[in-house]
Amino acid sequence: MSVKIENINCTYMPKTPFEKTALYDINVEIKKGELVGIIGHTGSGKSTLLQHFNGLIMPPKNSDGKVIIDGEVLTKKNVREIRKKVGYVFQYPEYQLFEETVYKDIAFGLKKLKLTEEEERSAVLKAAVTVGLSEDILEKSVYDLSGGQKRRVAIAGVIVMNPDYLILDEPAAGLDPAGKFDILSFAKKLREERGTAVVIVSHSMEDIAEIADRIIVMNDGRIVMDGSPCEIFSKKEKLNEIGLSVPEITDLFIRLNAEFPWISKEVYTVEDSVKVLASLLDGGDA
Amino acid sequence: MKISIGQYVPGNSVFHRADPRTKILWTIAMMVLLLIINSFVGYAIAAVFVIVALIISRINIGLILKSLKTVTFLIVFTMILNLLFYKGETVLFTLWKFDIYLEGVMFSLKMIIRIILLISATSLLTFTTTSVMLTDGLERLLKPLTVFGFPAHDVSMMMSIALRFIPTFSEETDRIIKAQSSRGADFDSPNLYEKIKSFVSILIPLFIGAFRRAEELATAMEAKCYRGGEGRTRLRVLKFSSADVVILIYSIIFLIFVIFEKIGWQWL
Amino acid sequence: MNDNYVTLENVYYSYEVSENDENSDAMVGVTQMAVENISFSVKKGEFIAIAGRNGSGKSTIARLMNALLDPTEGVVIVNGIDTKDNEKIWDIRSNVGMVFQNPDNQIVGMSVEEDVAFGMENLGIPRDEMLTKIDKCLKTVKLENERKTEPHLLSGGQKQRVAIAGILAMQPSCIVLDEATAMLDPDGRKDVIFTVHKLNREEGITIILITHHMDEIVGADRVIIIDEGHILCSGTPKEIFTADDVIKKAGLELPQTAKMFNLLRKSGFDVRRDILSADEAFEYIKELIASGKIQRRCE
Repeated sequence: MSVKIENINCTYMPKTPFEKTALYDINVEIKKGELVGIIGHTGSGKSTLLQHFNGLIMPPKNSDGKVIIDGEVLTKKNVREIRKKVGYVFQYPEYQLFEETVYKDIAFGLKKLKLTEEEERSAVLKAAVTVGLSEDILEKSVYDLSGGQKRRVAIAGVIVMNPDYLILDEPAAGLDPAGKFDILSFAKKLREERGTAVVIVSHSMEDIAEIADRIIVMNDGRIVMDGSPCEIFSKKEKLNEIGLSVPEITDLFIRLNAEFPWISKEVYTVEDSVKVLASLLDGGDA
Repeated sequence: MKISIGQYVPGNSVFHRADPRTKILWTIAMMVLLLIINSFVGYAIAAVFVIVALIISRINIGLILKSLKTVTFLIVFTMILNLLFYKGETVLFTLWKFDIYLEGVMFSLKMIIRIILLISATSLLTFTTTSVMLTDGLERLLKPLTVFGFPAHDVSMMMSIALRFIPTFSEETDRIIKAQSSRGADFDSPNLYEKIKSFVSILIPLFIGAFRRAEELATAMEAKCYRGGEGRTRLRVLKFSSADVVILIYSIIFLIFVIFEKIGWQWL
Repeated sequence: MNDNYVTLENVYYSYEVSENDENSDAMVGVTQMAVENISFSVKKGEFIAIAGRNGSGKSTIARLMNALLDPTEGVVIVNGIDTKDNEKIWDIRSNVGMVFQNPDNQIVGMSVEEDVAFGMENLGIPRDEMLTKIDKCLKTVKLENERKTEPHLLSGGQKQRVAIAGILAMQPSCIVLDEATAMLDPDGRKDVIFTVHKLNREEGITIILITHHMDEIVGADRVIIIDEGHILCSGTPKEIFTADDVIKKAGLELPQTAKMFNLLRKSGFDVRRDILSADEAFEYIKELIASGKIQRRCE
């Protein structure tokens, strides 16, 4: 069970003066249950790549580019079915809400499925609870909610379809740390509880390091690195070359390790760092 | 997605360099004159003038044809109406219940030529003038009307803000369409109800977004001391140059031709 | 005469919202408090950071400072002028520039130079003066090569710098950045923060930086933490960084290294907590090693 991208190239406005190649020969596979972080500069092709995952952008005709979802090749005919499997949450999704009530907005995608009222209600409730919304706001107008709540409504509107794969394009953009924390922990929970594959785009190496078990690094329309956090963060120079960096805390320990090899440099989160230093420091409760 | 208003084609011809006010007036004059002219000789003269102007401004004739294509329906429709209903004297032939007159054929031919020339002449304005210059030109031309309470400055400020936000809204529309189709909205459905519903799902967030942006923009403008047109200086200034003189002379020559055509060559 | 540039004295701001009444289902007006009893002042040339979560009232404070909002109670004095004085409202606004959150929604001009000119046009500055100022201000924000560029082709960080240049051209004494970095990527954020520090240092412009990114407060002279319309605490960045409980309560998050030292301290280790940057952390850990507090241990 996986989403597989094969030999995808993508050029915007080909054969015009505005021609711009966004992707070069991309091959990548996301397996069910993975939590993948995608990182890269603005304009590195992240969004273009992700929009191939659910057929928002189709592979160019007359090319051998293919998108294969659970063994099925994506075509114009099955794209509607595929979109139920691959959920996509855009940046600032709260700006796409349009129904009168929270309930209706979350239920929007379900309308095509011909569910009974009870089935629909329970699906909406489940999605709302998953993103941390309480039942009593379901009948409220979306415009009475706070920014963070609106965003959760928008995300609930995607996961209500119970997708096997969920793409979150900068889900924490513009949120304060508390809001960001909620969104990231929900992504983790979704993977653990439903086995959903979650793909998160982020500009923050620190956030990606906290949650992802695989990191894909993009630069200029190419996948330049793909591996576990450990593999990616051990190549600090390579990241720096393309203008990215390892998490602040990792950087500190890499520098310490260069002078004091007995201090581990495999530190990717604050938690790791506290463990390492606690084992070396005098005193403490432990 | 790219929306181009006026399809401005960059260049450095006399027409490009001329002041937008001159060009707007030129266009209006052309329109009036084309409505006055009523003979094939007159149209021939006008055609020569328009074509020469197009060549001078290095506008690809293909572009003109493209803009004509969008009004094909209008042209064909006018032609058919005139052919069928024009009552003249010489019946050429009878089509079902309608007599087709020679005068009708002539009249509809003239109408078509007139439309084609009108569109070519106005295209010259939009092809050689950026939308910013166009708004500026309009503002200056409408300025005398402020005496009668016409808000020339506000209208032009609104127009230029609208122009500034076109790319923003086109990006936003694109994103909303993609987001809603990801959630199962069906924009290609043959079912009319479905279709309307999916458009509502685009329009509502788009409108709400527009209001939000408008509000924020208004606050930002206020914070930068914007308080209407009074006492404002401008970075963009319009200046008449030699290019305007060229167009003026060109227009006068054309006008003379039209007058002669109207009152008859026998006076020469 | 003191040297305070902006002073807020016991400021309250509330607004009416309509809400569904629980019992009658009719719409009723409810008064919402945005800020309550806020008092602080900012000295000329100071760099102040105001941090708080979304909805904490920090944007309201920003808008009170250049008369976009009038306080419900209390007074706001800017450069000796009460912001309620409607006659002098334009003096205040030309002295206190504002950069807003959404880069797209504050650009008026069809090109970079036109947007920079917008504020000057409003002030009635002669065209020749505008041209020289545009040059100078675009250089200051390092966008001199984008003069003719259409704004929608710029990155978020560049757009914010255009906004800053437009304010600079109006020669303000103070710039308020109302979450101006919230929608930017890390590069854009860095550029904007670097630019305002430069303006503060080189041109003596008073900066009030409103943010929820704690790494951005590091270079500030003073930090005010806001939550639910109240000032939770204020102090130097070093003082704030040691108050991690307050920061958590305010819904904020310290940078990773500061968080690490605070956590170590919580588990009973005697470490300093006022470490502002990774560089400082590096030096400090080296010190700890030199003093034998951190040493290689056998498993």
